[in-house]
Amino acid sequence: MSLSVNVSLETADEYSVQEITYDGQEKYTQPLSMSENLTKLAQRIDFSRVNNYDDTEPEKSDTVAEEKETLQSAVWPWESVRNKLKSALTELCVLLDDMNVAKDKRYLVLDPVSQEPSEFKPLTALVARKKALAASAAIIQNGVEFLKSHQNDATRSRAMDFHSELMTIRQNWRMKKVGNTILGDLSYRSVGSRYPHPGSFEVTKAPTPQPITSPSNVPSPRASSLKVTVASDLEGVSYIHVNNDTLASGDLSIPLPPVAVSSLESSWQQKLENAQNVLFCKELFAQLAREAVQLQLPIPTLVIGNQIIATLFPGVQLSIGLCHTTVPNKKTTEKQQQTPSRNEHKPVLEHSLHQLLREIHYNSLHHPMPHPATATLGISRKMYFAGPEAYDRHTLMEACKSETMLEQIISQSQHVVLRLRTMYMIDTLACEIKDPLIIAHWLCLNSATKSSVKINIVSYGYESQSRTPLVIHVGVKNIKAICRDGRTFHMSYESQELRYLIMSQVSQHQINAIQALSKLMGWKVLSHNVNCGVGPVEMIGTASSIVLASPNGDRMIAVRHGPQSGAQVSISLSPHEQDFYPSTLVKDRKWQNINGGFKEVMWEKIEGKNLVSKIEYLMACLTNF
Amino acid sequence: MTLNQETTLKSYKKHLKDDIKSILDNFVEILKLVKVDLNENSHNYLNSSRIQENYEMNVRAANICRAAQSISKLIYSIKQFIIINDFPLINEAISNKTSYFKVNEIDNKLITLRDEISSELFDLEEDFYSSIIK
Repeated sequence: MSLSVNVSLETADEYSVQEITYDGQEKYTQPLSMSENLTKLAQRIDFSRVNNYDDTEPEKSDTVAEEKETLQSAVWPWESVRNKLKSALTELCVLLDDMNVAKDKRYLVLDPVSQEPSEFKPLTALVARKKALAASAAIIQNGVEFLKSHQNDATRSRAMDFHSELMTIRQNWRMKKVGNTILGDLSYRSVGSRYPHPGSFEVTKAPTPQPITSPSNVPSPRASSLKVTVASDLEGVSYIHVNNDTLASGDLSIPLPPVAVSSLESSWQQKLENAQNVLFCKELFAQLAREAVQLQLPIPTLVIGNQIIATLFPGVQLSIGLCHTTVPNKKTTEKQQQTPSRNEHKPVLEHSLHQLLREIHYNSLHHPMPHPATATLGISRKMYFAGPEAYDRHTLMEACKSETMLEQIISQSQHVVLRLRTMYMIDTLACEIKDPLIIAHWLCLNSATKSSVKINIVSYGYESQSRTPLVIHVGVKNIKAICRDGRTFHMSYESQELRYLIMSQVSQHQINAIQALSKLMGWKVLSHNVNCGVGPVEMIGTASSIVLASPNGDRMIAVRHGPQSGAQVSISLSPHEQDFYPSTLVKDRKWQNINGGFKEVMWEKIEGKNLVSKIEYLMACLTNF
Repeated sequence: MTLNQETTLKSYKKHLKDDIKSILDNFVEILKLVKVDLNENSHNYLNSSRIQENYEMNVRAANICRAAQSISKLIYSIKQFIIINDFPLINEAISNKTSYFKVNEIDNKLITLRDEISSELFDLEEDFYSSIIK
């Protein structure tokens, strides 16, 4: 290859002849400059050929012709290129518009043009329409079947359909329709409550239960078609736990009655009642807690968590707790069984709490008459008289004073504690003191803060002879006793005081009974003293004494009875000795008739059931006819 | 009757009318479609349009079903409305319940019971406190 020769090619150095004039002169064309050459080459590009469109082929000749034209009349070298691009742009725009029109279908619908129009056959059309009609009929039939089956299901599967149950629930609860939902009202607002909890529940249709494939003889529990949804904080069971114990207990265990737990998931009625009860308990507790914070007692009340602790008497506390269980799980019940509730629930006090709150509700709606249009509504009856009667400030203050619920429940529980103490005390005394019988009759007519008991002290076997009645009024913090002779004793809450009183009454009763017996036996009462000053000093009260003489005066019995020391009986005889031996001092027998010194009787040896019968025995022995 | 309830009733009425109208219209349209026009231009009557008519009939039938169900739903909600707003019935129920519970009668019975119990209790207390075993 090294031998190869480089061949250079170059254009001939002569210009092409444009024309030859008649005189033989040759005119040469001017050579093209570089730019002119480029223009010329560019003009040769056939744009339509690049596109490879078949349909552009026939136009080729035109284009060429045009090209020639433009070539000749080219004012500006790039004009033809520009013209071509412009026409291309125009065509593209048109194409785009066409496509838009075809796509939007607003003005134009593209339909394939059938090449060969099918011939119209009426029978085919009829068959086709019949088919279409049959299909439509089937659809409608299906719809009808669906509706029928739906209705049948509703009537067959449930004895109570949704609407009957809705009617039942409507007759029992307040309800309204909001939009598509049915809302009910659990709150006590319509009876005067001002608790802000909305307390609403929603009634929906329960989902259709699966058909139970149980044998027909077993009656399956009727499924309710109503579903009641209450607010989550109202679910479950709750109650107010009230107790008074001597210790401040810690957290409250919740000993729920098993019945309440089992009935959690029963009917909607039960569920709503439970929810309403929860709401009521919450309101009650909220009210009590508010009062407990505001109340100013010498020993302040404590509010800890769900518990309010108030002191009733020294060492005795009242605790009010709000118990609420949502899910009856096994753990809590087991726990309760392990720790038996050391503080028993007081249902009576719980009931009075409920009553108190209901009274507040009632009072907030029922204002005392009259209701003049000019006066403020809701002021008390006393306030109406304040103006006409010209009350002073003190009276007004007194009139405005009203007991809060907590104060009322505290006084009620104080009364309960005091009453129980009194009852226990009387029963213990009745057991301890066998000789005169202590018979207590509790009166059935009493209020929440006042009750009374009638005590009869009688000697067994001599009930008609002598009876010492005693009436005891048990109040809130004190006890009042009214004795047989009309004396009234006021005592504090310490039941020991009552014990002393009854014991001294017993002692006096014995002496009174002996006095009554002496009348019957014909003995003479020489002295009767209820406050005997002689003998050993009694620990409590004073001893009583009586001295009796036999009908013919030769025997004397002296009885001294102290509340604690008991009976002490002495006798003296006249003549004191049967045989007379004259001595240097007493020379005559007549001096024997003077009563001798008192000798104490060995009381245990005397026969008889009680003191009075023993005295009777003694009297019978000593009487000479 | 409050304004709200009136509007609810009006909407129920409108609902009912619309549904009935829908049933009727759809039915009439189906019947119209069924008619075979002999003078029908064969060019217009193509296979595709036949399919379209078929489809239209089906849709209209389904519309009738829908309207019927909607009416049954309407009946359902009207029932609810009546039950919830039927105050005379509720008043009657409340008064029935009040008479059923017979508060006064029960109170009287309770008072009688209390009296009997307290008189019995008096005797029992008498016996209890007089006995040796306490």
